[in-house]
Amino acid sequence: MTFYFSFTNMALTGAAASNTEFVGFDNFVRMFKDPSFKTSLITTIIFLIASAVVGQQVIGFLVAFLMKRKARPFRRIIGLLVLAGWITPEVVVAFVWFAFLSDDGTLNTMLGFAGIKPIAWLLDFPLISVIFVNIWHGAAFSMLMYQAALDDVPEEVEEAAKIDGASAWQRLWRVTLPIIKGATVTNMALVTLQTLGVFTLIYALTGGGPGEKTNTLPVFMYKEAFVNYQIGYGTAISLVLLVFGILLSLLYIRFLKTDS
Amino acid sequence: MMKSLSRNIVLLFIVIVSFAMLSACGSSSDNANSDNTLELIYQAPDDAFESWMNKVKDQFEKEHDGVKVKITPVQSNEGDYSSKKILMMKTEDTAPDIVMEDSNDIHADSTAGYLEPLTDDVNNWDDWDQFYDQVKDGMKGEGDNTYGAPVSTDVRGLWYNKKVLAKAGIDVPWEPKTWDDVLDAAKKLKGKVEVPIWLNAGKAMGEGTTMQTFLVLLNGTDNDLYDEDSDKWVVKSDGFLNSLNFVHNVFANDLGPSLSWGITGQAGAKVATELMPKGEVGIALDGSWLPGNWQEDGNAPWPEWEDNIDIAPMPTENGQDPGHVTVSGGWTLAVPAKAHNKDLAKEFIKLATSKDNLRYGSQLTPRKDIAELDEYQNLKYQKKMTDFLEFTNYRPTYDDYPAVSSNIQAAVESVATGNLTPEKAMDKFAEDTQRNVDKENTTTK
Repeated sequence: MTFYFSFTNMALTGAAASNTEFVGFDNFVRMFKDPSFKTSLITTIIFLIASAVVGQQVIGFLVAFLMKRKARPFRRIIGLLVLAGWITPEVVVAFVWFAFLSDDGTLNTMLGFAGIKPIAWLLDFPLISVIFVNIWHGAAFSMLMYQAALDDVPEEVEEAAKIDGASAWQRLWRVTLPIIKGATVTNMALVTLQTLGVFTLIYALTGGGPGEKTNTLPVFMYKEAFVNYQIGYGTAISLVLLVFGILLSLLYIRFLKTDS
Repeated sequence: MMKSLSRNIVLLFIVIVSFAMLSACGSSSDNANSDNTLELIYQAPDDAFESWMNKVKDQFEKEHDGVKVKITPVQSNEGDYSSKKILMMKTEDTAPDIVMEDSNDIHADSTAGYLEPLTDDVNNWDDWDQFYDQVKDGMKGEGDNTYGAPVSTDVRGLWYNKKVLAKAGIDVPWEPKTWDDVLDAAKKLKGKVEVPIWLNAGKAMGEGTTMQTFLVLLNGTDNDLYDEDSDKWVVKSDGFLNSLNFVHNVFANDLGPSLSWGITGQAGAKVATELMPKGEVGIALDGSWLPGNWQEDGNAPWPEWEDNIDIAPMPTENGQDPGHVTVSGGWTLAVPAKAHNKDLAKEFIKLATSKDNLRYGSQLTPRKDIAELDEYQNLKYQKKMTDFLEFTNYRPTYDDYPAVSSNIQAAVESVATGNLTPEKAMDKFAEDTQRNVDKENTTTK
């Protein structure tokens, strides 16, 4: 149905709601001419790479790696802290961080103690702020994935490399990472697709603004469909989002295949 | 440890998902569409509306044996309410019998075929003469038919803090005659209060930015947003540019609110419930409902508000006729085209909006006979603002209005944040609107 609607002028209200017509590729032509679409596609890619591919992956891995073979209480505390972000619903995460980042929020109060002037985080650094919050929210998932993968790395292999004189860095780079490559790609695929669909967090935190600075494709789609009532156009955007997700998945599957 | 933790998380997940599914079932299986049940939906939370409706419900059920009235709150903000309401009205299974409808939505919803025309009914209704003509005009939609009975109306104006203005050397009562008078006053207030003049300027405030800020300005110029003669949207005009220039002057001179909260969705609440009661706002261009926040049952009770706050009508740009300007909207009760008990629904609406029953709370009454009551006349501000209705305007709420309004919000925000000059913002507005509504439906002046 979504596929069909994206070729119509369907609207939630007004004349096009009672008299929906087939308009061919009009919605897609309009989309590619729409500067807001271009902006939101770029924003989506930046958000995706920075918060999912780099942020959640790297931080998730680092936490899992540093926690490996650490004392139980330490693992428990760090694990709980990271997991707190993950089990909190997106909308709650957004409100908590809104309170933290707002003008008279906790962060600015803390900076104030250090004599630093308050910074309007959500206005001056909106994209960085939502990226950071999404990393906080999602890093636990990667951490769990990497913990499982790292637990599967046989200790003997690492021991052998150590006896052969490999440094810690070499052991990580040459031994551990190649062994967990499969898990890395799978995790990357899951985290990417999950992040591609992030809506509530951004919408509740910045509403896609200021201006269009955090207007990712899901936010853009929602606004066109339910704020401007252009359901046809909105579904066309969602179709592009879907195709984008499929392409990324195919890319990851290809990576997995070369791995095996 | 991690294993048990993971298991706990999975369990937590299952509990949350099951809970969400259960609550979803509860709300969808609860539709009251039987023959003798009348369902009314409204945008919640709205305690005043709810208690008023409950009173009417009791009376109606007493008068109609065996009929049950079900009042369903739809928890949502303004934008979401419209979508939810439309989705309910779309299918027979979920269509309520009466909807609380924003007069703004009447045109589009009637064109879409969601609403039942009430023209014949209101023409046969003696009370209909008692509603203000301007308000009745706002109830018209497809085919020039009437689609709703007004329950309230509103106006916009300049709320100002008498004490703060007097301290800054501005004569009180304040009666600005031109936009320059307004800006001059704001300049005198600079440094004396946190916000010399408050305007909605963000996309996050949605329609509030279009209606409370931009249209109040534009209607005070010699240009309109919609040219009724040629049926075209006016995408460029001197008035449009001057209106954006006003916004630019406010923000570029630091006369407006701090942008970091001033353009967020929380801005409206912060001004009304926090900054104004603290005396931190000199002037606020906002709606007639503002004092509703300060009543005993409001969000921020402020018993002394009348000692501090007064309202002046917004002047036209250069004081040209009619001297003042305002924009009105308001809520209505309407009957969906797919309602099950249309006749009963109409009866209910008549009863609810009768002279004895119609409640106005912090809104303005749409009825002349209520406006004449001593009880209403004693409400100083309601009385004062009801006079604004003489020079009020309604919005051109045609099908394309939501998209045009959204482009206006973007233009105002980009000027307020300094991202675009007023000229560039108007160019972008023209470009976006020409794309949204088709170039042949637009014109420039």
